[in-house]
This record gives sequence, C-alpha cells and structure tokens, in this order.
Amino acid sequence: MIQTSVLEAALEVAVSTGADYAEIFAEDTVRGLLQFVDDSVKDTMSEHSVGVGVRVFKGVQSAYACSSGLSPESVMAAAKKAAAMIAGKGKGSVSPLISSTCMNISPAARIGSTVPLSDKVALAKRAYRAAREYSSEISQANIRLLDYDRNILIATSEGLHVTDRQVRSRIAINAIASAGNVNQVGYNAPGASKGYEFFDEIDLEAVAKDAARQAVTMLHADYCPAGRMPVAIDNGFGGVIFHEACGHSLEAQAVSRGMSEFAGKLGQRVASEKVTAIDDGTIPGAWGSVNIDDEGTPNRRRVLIDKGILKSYLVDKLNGRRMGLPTTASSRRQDYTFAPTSRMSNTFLAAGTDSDEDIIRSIDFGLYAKKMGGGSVNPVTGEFNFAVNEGYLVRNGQICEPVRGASLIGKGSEVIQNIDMVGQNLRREQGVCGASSGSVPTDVGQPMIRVSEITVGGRK
Amino acid sequence: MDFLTFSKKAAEYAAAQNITDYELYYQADSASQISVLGENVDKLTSSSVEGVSLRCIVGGKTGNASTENFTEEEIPDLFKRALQAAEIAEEGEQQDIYAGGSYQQLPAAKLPENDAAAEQASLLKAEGYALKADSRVQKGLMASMADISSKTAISNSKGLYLENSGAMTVASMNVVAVDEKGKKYNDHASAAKACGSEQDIEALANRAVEKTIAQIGASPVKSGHYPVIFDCSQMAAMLEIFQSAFSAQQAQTGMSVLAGKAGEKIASDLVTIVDDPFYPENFFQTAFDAEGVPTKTRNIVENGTLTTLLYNRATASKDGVESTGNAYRDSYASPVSIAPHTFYLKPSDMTREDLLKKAGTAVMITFMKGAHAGANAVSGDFSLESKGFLVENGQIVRAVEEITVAGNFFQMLKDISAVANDLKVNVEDGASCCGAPTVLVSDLAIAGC
Repeated sequence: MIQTSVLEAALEVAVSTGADYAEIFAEDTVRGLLQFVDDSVKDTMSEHSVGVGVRVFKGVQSAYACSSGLSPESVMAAAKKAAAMIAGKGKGSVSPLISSTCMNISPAARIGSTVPLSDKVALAKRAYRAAREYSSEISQANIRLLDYDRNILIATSEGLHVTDRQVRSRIAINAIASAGNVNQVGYNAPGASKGYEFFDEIDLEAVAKDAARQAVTMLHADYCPAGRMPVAIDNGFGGVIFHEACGHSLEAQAVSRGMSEFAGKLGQRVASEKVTAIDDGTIPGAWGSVNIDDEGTPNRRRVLIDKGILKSYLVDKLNGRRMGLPTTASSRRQDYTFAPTSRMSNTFLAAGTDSDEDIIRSIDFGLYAKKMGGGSVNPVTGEFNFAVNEGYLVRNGQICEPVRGASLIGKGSEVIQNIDMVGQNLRREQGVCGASSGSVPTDVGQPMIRVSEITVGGRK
Repeated sequence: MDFLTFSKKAAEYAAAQNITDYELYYQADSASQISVLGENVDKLTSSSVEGVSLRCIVGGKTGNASTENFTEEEIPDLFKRALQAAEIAEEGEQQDIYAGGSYQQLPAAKLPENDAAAEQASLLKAEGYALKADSRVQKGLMASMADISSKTAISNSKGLYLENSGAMTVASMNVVAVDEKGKKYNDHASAAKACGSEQDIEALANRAVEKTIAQIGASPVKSGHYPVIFDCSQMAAMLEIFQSAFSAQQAQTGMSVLAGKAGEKIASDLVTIVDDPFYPENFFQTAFDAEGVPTKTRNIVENGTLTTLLYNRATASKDGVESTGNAYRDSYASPVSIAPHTFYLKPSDMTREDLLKKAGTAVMITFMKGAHAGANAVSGDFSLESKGFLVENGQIVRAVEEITVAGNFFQMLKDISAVANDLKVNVEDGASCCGAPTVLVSDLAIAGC
C-alpha cells in the first residue's frame, strides 16, 4: 500500500517534535451497498475509500491527523500535521520497521467486490419475496445488502509493520406490516466476517420470514404496560443489555478518565454470581472478530467479569498509559478518519445453568422480551436504555399476549446485580456499535436471562 | 489533483466513451479539534477528507460509484463501477441529469482562521469556571473546540457547475457533579458560532454546570399518563427523529404514515413547520440541493395541514410534481436521498412561563436518549429514556430521572396544546438540522416507579 521507506520517513517526521510514539494507519477499502425495495433495486453504491491517519503520543497527550489519499505526499503531510500539533521539545526515536503477518482467523471465499451485481440482486430478491409472501399484511420490505473489503496497514515507531485484510458481508431485512394507518416493523440483520459464502450458510428465507413474523405480531399487539417488573430477555440480540449496561462502561476511554461507574473496581464483585461476561475478538468468521486491532495488536479473548467479579477492562494503548495497564487488543475505529479507542468486539454473557422454562415459570407478572433493538448508555452515571422490538406479557409463569412500544431503562451497575437467572442456550447476533471512534461491527449475545426488576417504558 | 481538474478529466473520459448523462458530487470536509481534560490538553485532531460520487443515467437506469482517490487512473474504474450498477437497476422515473435553474445568491462563508493557541488557552480555563460555579462539580472536566468546514460542488454533463461552502466553530463541555451521597450527575452544553467570532467559554461552563446541578435530587415519578412539556431542545430532537416521515421517498415505498396526506390535517392548529435552506443562523445555508435544484423556504405544515412532502427529482417525477429542492446526501458516498434543510416548528408569542402555567401539572422533558432504537419513524411509536422536571401549579418543583416517555409522534402532533416563543435550532448539526420552541402535549405515557 505504502513503501517502507515512505513509512519510515513519515514516522521520523511524526516524532520530530518530541512525541514518544508514532503510528501510521493506512486504509484502502471497497464497500458495496445494494438496497432492494418495492420489488426493485432502489439504490446501489460502490465506494472506494483511501486514506491515512498519523497518531502521536507524548505521555498521555495525543494528536491525530488524517487525510484522504495514499500518496507519499499525503502520508508525509499527515505526519507533519500531527508533529506540529504536539509541538514539544526533543525528538523521539524510531525503530527500523520489521514486517510481520497476522494469522487470518476469518478467511473469506467470495469477496463482495468480486461478486457480480446480478447475483447480489438475486440474493436481495429472495429475502424480499420471502418477507412479502409471509402474509398479506406485509406491505413492504426493505433489503440492504452490504459488504466490505478493508485493507489496512499499521506501522509504528516501535518497529511494528503489519497489514491485514478484513472482509465482511451482511444483509439487513426490514419487513413492514400495515393495517389502516398503523405501520409496524420487523428486523433481522445477520452478518459475518466472511464473503458471500455466508449467505449459503444461513437460511435466508427463514431469516426474512422471521422479520415478517415480528412485524405482523406487533401489528396485532396492544401497548406494553409501564412500570417496574421482572423481565425475561431472550438470547441473541438480548445481549445488548450487557453491551449497554456494562460493556461501554468497561471501555478504557471512559474508565481512564474516571468517567465510568466501574472505575477502580478491578477484582471487586460488580455483578451477581450468575454473570460471566466475555469479549472475544478471535471467534473465526464472527462479525465482530478482527485478526489484529486497529493499533496492530493480535486479537484475544477477554474475560471481563468472572462469576460476578470484575476481571478486565477493554484497553487500548493510549488509555492504557493513563491507567498503567497494557493493551487488551481492544483498539478499534470505523476508518482512517477516526483515531482509534477502546471498543468491544464479540461481547456476550456466558451460558449458565437455568432452563428457559424455569425462567418463564418464575415470573408471576412481567415481560418476556423476545427480540431486542439497540440502546445506549451514559458510562458516567450508568444510565442506559434499550428497545424491546418484540415483547409478550408473562402471567402466572405463562407467556401471554404480545405487547409493543416498550423500552427498558436502568442503571448498569444495578441491573447486572439483578440478573438472577441465566439460561443455557447462548446465541450471538450482529450489530453496529457507535461511539467516539465511529461505527464498528460488534456481536452481542447471551442465553435467556431473568432480570428480577427493571423499569419497562410502556404506554399503558 | 483537485476536484475541478478531476471533473475536467472525467468529462474528457465521458465524451470519449459516449457517456451522456452523469453527475459528479464532490464533498470536502475539514475539521481541527482541541480537547482538554481538566487543566491538561488531552487530544488534538486535524482531518481533511474529500471524496466524489459519480451518478450515471443510461436508458433511465441509474448507477452510483464513489472514490476518495483523486488520480487520473481512478476515473475509468469509477465510470466502470457506476455503469455496472446502472445495468442491474430498474428503469426509474428519472431520465436525465438536471440542467440548472435560478439560484439565490449567498454571501461567501467565513472560513476557519482561528488561533489554535488562543482556543487552547481559553479551553484550559473551562474547568476553573465550572469549579467556581458550583462546589459539587468534579475535577477532570472535558471540554473541546472544533473548527469545522465543508465544501460541496456539483459538476454534470449538462455543463452545470455549482459550489457551496460553510464553516463553524463548535465548543462543548461535559460536566460531572456529585451530591453528598456520592451519586454522580452528568450533562453537557455546546454552542456553535461563526468561525472567527469568539466563544464565551465562561458562559458555556456556567450553562453546563447549571444543567448538571439542576438534576440533583432527581427521582422517578409514578407511572401513568401526564401532560408533557418538551423543552425546546427535546422538541427539536423529536422533529429530527421523525423528519424522515416527511420524505416522499419514504411515503412512496409505504414507509411513512404521511403518504397521501398532503392537503390534510395532520397536526394541531398551533403547528406550522417550516423548511428553510436560508435560516440565518445556520452556517451551512445552501442555494441548491444535492442534485443542483434551487432550494426554497416553505411551510411544510401550515396551521396543522400538511402542504407537501419533501421531494427530490425522482420522487417528484413519480408524483407528477416539481422537486422541492430537498435532494440530500448524508455524505458524498451516500446515494441521493431526501432531507429537510433547517426544519423547525414555528414559535408563537407565548412565553415559556405562560406555557408552564397553562400546563398546571405536567412532566417536563429536558433530556431524551436512545432514539436510534427506541423510536421508529415508520410507525411513529417511541419510548425513550428521559430526564426532566415535575411541574406543579405552573412551577418546576423537582428534578425527575429514570423515566421513559412513550407515545406516537403522529398522535402527539395532534395533541400539541401550546407552543412557546423560545425557538432553538440545533445549528451545530450542520446543513440538515431541526429546531423547535418548547411545547405542551396534552397526554403521553410516563413509566417511572
């Protein structure tokens, strides 16, 4: 992508004003989007994104300069800008670059940019038809087929020189059910760190039909009651509860600044004994996996909470300096326009010992949240929210009628203490997590869990 | 090479290949930001990103491709990718590229010329101001200042060449306060100004502190139905969440309940919603949309009646109307969609105090979170984590937290029973942004304790 001599010269410039560490991140990415609505191709986009970002550290202070293009001039210009911003005395040192290759844990066969558009249309059409044919109440389906082929290079003043190719494919299916003036939406969006072979591995029609089923079910659902009650949250995207209630607050970006309710709690009990939480970037082919993080560190499996005890934060190099901790290979960024920071990868609650039947049976009056939507959190206070896309009331240990329009809110440190039953059937689903270093692909996951009491934001 | 050169080379290539209908959409964004943590500089960033999208129309079929690689070698590849995409597209309503119209003249934008050292020095005083404002404020205040500029240009096969640029400086501050029991409270304030004009850091710090301290002692209210007051900032957020329902694109694909409602009453008489591409306080005013169509100020909702949806050329052609000049690209690499310019609920002459008095007892919402998941523009349903105040006898009596506010946006538009005069527009959001005054909604569900 960029000649070693250019990288070395740029690193020399980057440390020339007193930085003690410099890093070049270069990217050449091809993205494809195909949107299929109303039985026809609505939009397509084929993107070619190229650029470079140079980051320098001086102690815990950092500077980041980025620009489009990969010419030697643009690399050098970014290095000069970063050096000018740090503007100190002295000169840092640069080790000779030693090229290394990283192990590819997610080999891809049919990369998006090589797949004929007609094949992509056929794929989208299959999902569209399956959703529409589910019921006459399905009035529309919106299919988005996304792929990307991200080629990155990282070179640092410590002599690291590594490249990686990260391939992903995903299909997002929205099914809309309508009756009169009421619309309801169902959604599924499976994805993987794989090429288009991924779509042969999943039952696309079943995924589309399930989105349609959600929409139709919600169309006939009454509004959810409001108030505090026990909630059973099903597996898969239900794991967004841990992602929001706890995961973000374990990111070094928040912890190192004292902006997290979990700061200073390593080794302490922070959750119920039933809770073991893992962030694993090494699952082959998983949506949130990467071979190396965006600082070039080989990925790993991180046990964050073990039987309720806080074991690890998610740490990147810069925030690790502030905390006196080594990186946990958790540094990620959307693309070269963002400086990287600590982020999640595939984050999930480990399987427990309770049965799903016992969890439902234990609830006299509460909510069964079958499908969750996204959420958000303020790590300082731990206040989080997330949406229930498909919910049912539970009465006397039985799942009853569907209810719609609910969200769940609470405080992270409280809610993870209130997880008092954990099922056995762990499943992960795919999401896109947005934070200060942009949008990155992440998996959330869990088995079915019970939260003994949480505020349900319903309308009745 | 720069965009003008690139577009000339592209024109030569298109001519040689007999490509007759195409459009290049260029965007260059620059930003430089200083972030401080307490008394120390934390992070400095500088970015300059540029890219171009090519849209080709062949036999009524449209194809898109984009690149950030401004080299001569990239041009054939860019055309190849767009033409491949056109091949698999269905024949659409749009058969040609826009030839141009008559445009309002706008004064040239003031570009960033700020003194980084002075900005840094003033930001480093922020923590001191905040600590002085209230003893419960914690050290380690985060503050930042960003100079942002953006330039867009359109060059097409009909010989149209248009350029527009805008710039602003945004200061923001994040305050954490602790009460006597050790409970933490957090809020922030931000302000957008024209580049070159001074930011009042002390005033901003005081505002962020005031918002944070006001939450101390907050607790939930009992779950139930209440009249709800949306603070101007939160009513603006509501419009932003649901503005896509006004898009003809959403309507034509059955994803808006406003489809076919032009000319019908969709809101209370008190509701007039304006779309203004020339809103004076917006730093990214524009005389043309993402397809080069001239923009115009209009009332989208007038005294409760929907006058028109927002159109680009393709959707206008399908409905047999003129484009409203609302073609929009989220970034240069996004396909053409539809969005408002400055989209705001028109204020009345009622003061905020009088609105509170009219409400009597109500929950006032000053903060909402999680709209990307907890609100759906297709259905209009929302259930959102919120904070605010309990209002009794027209007076704020205490802070409220750990509640959700839930309802349906389209019902809520009909239930607006008062509109205040305190219009606030979120101009820091850039070219497409929303604004509103404080409003009173007669009935919404609150989940609390």
